[in-house]
Amino acid sequence: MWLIYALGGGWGHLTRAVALARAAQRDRPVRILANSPYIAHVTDGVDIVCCETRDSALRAIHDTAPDCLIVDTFPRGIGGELCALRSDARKVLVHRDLNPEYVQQFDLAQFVSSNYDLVVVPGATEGSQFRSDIRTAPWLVRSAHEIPTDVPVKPGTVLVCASGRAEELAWYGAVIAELSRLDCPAPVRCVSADRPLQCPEDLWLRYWPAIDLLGAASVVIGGAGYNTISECVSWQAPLVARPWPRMYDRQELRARRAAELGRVIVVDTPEEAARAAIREAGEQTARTPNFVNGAEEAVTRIESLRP
Amino acid sequence: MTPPPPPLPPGWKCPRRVGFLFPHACLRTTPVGCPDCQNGMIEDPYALRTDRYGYSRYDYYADNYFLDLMPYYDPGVPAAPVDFTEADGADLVTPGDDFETDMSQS
Amino acid sequence: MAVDENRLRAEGLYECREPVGNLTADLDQIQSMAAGWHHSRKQRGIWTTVLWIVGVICFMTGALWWLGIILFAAGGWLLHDMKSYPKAVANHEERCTFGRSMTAMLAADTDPTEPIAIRVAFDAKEETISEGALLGRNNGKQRLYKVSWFSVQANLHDGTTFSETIDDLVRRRSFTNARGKSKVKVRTNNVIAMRFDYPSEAYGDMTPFRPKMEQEIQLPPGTIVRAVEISPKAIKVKALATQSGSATYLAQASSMLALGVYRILNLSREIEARKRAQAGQGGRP
Repeated sequence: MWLIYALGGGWGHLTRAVALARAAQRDRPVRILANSPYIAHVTDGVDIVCCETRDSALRAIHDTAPDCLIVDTFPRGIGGELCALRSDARKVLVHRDLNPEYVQQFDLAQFVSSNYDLVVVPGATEGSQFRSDIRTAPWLVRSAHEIPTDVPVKPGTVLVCASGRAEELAWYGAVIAELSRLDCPAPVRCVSADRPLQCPEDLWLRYWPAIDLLGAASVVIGGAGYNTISECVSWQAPLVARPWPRMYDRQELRARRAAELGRVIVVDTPEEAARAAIREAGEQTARTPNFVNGAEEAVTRIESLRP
Repeated sequence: MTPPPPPLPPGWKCPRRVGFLFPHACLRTTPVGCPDCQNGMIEDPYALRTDRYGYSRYDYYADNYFLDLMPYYDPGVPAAPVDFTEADGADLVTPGDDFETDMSQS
Repeated sequence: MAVDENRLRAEGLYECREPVGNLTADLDQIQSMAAGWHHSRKQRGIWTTVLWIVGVICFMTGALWWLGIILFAAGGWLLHDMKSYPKAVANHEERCTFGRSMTAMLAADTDPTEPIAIRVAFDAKEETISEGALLGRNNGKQRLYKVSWFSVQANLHDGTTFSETIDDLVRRRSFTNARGKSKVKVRTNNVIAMRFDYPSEAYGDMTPFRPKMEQEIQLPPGTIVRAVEISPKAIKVKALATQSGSATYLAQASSMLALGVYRILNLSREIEARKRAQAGQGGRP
């Protein structure tokens, strides 16, 4: 059994864990531990256990007794609880970018060196603070051949992907209102777990995973979290990115690095986002998915880790 | 019997530092009845405030604060006369301890 | 300036731009009124209940049915009279306490004759952020909404314009449990947002200080920094307080947040002073 520790708010850790679990569970049982508020939205037949506290996470790890423990992002656990862990499992760290103040304050480089058998970096621009044993392509919750041909979004749509925190929804709602005010020539849709107040009902769509829809989007408006950036860059879909402040994730840095690699425009206000999206909206035909899912390679590398 | 204090010169304004968030000159025309310096008994009311919660050494900065942010800082050069802080070799204020306290962060 | 009692009763709103001494007096007055209204409402509620219970008993006796009608009417009149004591103000007396704490904090660093703008809403509108089904629960519904009930803006002695807002962020979940009972769960957090429009001639460009500021801000347990954004002209900070309901706690969180920002502003001012000193003495660049 592989156990993936993916505690952390929002969608990011959960989606990355699901991407790995889907690739890995063909050959062995895989379980995810998470505390994302969006667990119920994941409909992929993946075994996810909700752990809200440090104690419940430790208990779940102990009860599962995995032969491989894969920890997403937080080497010590998001609450520091993994320092108390006693386990013979092989330990793998998924090294997403981390706040360097946190890395320094807790001497994480040393901790990782002493406690992890393998460090896997899910993407070219992630993870530069610890040793990187393996660097793969970004991990995506769908591989190219799994993208459905029939999606509920028309080609050429301006797609607003409102992931992240509930209190940030108002910003996305304001973007939709601004797109309407500016008479956006392309159809607009908003995909999110909860409908932003300013988004009309007929423009809102609750759909998971949003990666299925990106092929039809002429431009995407979203945050600058790992999954949004990775999915848009993989699809080569233009992204208007609004980095959100996070305690551990340097979204601004990720967005600016991605802007150097692909069509990513970094914005701040809803007005800027709407204007940038209207400028970028152009393609009216759906794209063909042609990307590599790094989760597949990660599974191969992890299973070759000797006990 | 203690002699009365000498009269204040005309146009006198109190030069003591007061304030909660930042220091500024008091500028009262008499210390009598002043809750900050308590009738002139406290020389530096700003530094001696005890109502700043966990900021116990609010007014002090160790040298590394300056070294990090002022590459050519030479601690031997005295500052020009200002009405603000003067650092010495005091201990650091407790660093931020918000990491690993909130399980819903990302 | 006297409190606009009519506006307070009709809209549940206190809004004023006055020197800090006047604001403190106003908030004292409102708090006293709120306490009185709360007491009056409670008294009327108790008496209404008593009158109606006795009225029902009178009906049941048969002979005293006429007394029952009188008692019911009296209870109804008391219930109607309760409306003259606004519920929203009566139930949010603690907002006056918080407002006074903030004016007291600002009093130390503002000119006593300079007006401060303050707004305390006791009956603020709920702004829905999202609503929809609550997955995993029978008849589950979730609504997330915001209530903006406080704002203050003041010009400080150092030329900074300080402003703060407090929003309640409320998550309301309703569902039917396994026993068929309707349940409602409400959770409230407070979002403290502050903005400091600082004079760059005194403090320089604060942008490089962002990591240090994040590190220096201390907050009471249960409150976390959510954002620190610094530009050459303004500092914006946001914190989330999860121990809702206590004005004292919220005031402490607000003060500590402002102190954390100013600890680094003061450092910057000191650095600017030392740079000027070094330049003046022909020091290294």
